[in-house]
Amino acid sequence: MGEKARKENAEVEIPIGLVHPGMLEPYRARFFVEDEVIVDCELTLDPYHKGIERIMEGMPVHKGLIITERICGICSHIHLWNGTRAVERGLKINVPERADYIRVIMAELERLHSHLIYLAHATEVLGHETMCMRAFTLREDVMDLLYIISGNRVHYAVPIIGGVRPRCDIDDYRMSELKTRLSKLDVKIGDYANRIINDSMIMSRVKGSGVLTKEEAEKYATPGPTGRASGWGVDLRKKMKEYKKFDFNVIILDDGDNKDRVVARALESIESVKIIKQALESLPSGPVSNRSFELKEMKFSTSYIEAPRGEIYDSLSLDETGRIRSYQNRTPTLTALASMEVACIGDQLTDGMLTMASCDPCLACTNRAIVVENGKEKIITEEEVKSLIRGGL
Amino acid sequence: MMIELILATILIPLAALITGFFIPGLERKVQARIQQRIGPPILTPGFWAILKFFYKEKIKPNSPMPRLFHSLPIIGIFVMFFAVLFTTPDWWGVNALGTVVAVVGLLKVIEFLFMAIGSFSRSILSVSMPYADQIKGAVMKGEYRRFFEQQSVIRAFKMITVGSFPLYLAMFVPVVLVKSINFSDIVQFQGFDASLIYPGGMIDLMYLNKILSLKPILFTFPGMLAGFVYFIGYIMLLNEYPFSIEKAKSDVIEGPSLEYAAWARGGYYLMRESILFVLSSVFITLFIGLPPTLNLPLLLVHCLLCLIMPILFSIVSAFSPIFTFKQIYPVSMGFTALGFLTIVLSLLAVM
Repeated sequence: MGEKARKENAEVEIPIGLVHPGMLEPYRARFFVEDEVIVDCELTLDPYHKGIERIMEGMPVHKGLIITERICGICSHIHLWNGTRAVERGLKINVPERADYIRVIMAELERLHSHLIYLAHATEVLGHETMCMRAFTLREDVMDLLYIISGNRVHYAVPIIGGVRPRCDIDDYRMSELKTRLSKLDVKIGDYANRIINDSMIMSRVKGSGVLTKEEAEKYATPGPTGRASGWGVDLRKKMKEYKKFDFNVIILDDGDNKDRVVARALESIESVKIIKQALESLPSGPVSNRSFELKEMKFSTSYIEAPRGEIYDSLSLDETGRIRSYQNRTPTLTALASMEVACIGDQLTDGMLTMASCDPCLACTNRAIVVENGKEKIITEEEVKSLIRGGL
Repeated sequence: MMIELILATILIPLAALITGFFIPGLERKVQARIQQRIGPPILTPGFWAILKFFYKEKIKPNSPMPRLFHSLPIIGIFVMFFAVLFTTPDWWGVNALGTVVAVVGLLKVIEFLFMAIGSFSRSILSVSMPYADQIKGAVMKGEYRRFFEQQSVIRAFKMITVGSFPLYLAMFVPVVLVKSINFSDIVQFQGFDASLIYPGGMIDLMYLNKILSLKPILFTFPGMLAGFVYFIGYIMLLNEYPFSIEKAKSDVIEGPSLEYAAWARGGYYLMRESILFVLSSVFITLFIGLPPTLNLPLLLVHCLLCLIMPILFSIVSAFSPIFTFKQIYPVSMGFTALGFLTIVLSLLAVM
């Protein structure tokens, strides 16, 4: 159906959000429906901004990078790793091999954590509370492992410039805990995925709904597992030097519907366990950080990395005293938004919310704001922000 | 006779209410155990939560007719109490109200009540959310913006038209088998003798023995099929998983009842408990042949049997996602066809 035809068919608008139990974060979804069928959709973001990029300007790089963890509460490690990686690339700092392994282990544990939250959220939106609870039960082992390595459950603060924090080194105790807890996790996740696939009631909801074709995925640059579930096989891990030593498969599926997006995450989780097991088996000995570097002026340095939801981009520059001159970050959800709008067209309204959840948005990480007045960037104070909100923007 | 009628009118709704207090807790407990959780104490969701709601600050709902909106659950509770009273022996003689048709009529009122509740509600969570989403550049189409509750009303209407057939068809299977719409004839057919019962708290061992010698319609082939169809219809009328599209959390949140707060929400939960009890009670009367009576041991047995169906449906709910109309239409049509088949089988059985 063409865009014009869609617009003519829209009978009514059903606005959902900002506050809604089906949404993990505040955003506005405007569904234009004909009876129960969505003929068009519009997402409106920007209810809040953290202002992280601006806060970081002028901060010492060590302090500033820690703030990048606050971009996301689920994939916090990967943001810190990518920011650190950008600095290391810019200043040509060598990272010990053991540190790279620990970073990969943390990133894959975080991927497991993110994908299991995804499965829990998707099944919750589906209305299947039991499968939601089971996903959270599976996730708990992963959270324990993240805690054992880093001492925290949300913000791990593992990478530092030149390696990883010495307190996060994997000693014998951590090694044994990781091996014990991971030994059956892939089987458990496989069983969970099988339960979903073999449940005809769940399949009747997820199969054939929220279809995003390969062409659409390419057109809108759909990131990460959402794009790969539509047959668009881009996984930056295959290009990263840190992952060169590990043998794993990139999960690419063809149908591009809600079912494939769920299955892709489940299969990727099994691959993540595989990577962690390989890393633990071949963990090199040696130091976990290289502190022999000097902070100096750095022109723009960039880094791309494959986060659980897709590609993250970080760009950073430092002044001569090692303070951050400018910082930019782009999260995967930014490019997933258009895909979400397109994928839900033709769905039932209830399936539309499932499609939104199945594209795994993380909007708190995505929101950015620049106030431009008379062609120039303008910084506004907290009071001005409040007065804007009171006035209804 | 008059004293018994008054006693039945007071005590049987009271028994329904007390049993109803346990039902949400049992539901939650069963689901929690399936999900490997402990779950809340049995009386918390059905009694203490409601008591808490009655002590909360009264909030004026965002509704064009707030008083009527608030009174609808109370109306629902009374309607349900009358439905259960019509199945009691003491009410069978009152203006021929003790018939299946009268109870079906009252259940239809309940179905309509959900539509009425939704029509009078205007929650802040959708159209009236103070957020500038119709700003420059945004898509501006669809002249009409619909509240969640209005969407729920449309769904409730669809459920009335397609979702209520299985329940009513199943209710008429005993009618066909007994060739009477009267509850008195239906329970008598199954071996229940109303003349032997007397009110009071004494345990009549002879009568308890008679319960075991009942010949329930449920244990016949058409009865079993009808019981199964009734169970599906029961879940549909209750708007519970997987047929809870009317209050699908992922889009319309709580559906029609979104604006109920404080004592009104407590009232709404009481109405739900009454519906849960009454539908189970009607099933026990129609398919087991044991109506709610003033004989306390029998009433206790009746109330205990009424807990079976909510437990079964909570197991089904724990393993079900929400169906959209894409799934509800074929499922409903399928069970409607099964209901018709059961009616035909019943007709063949009595011919």
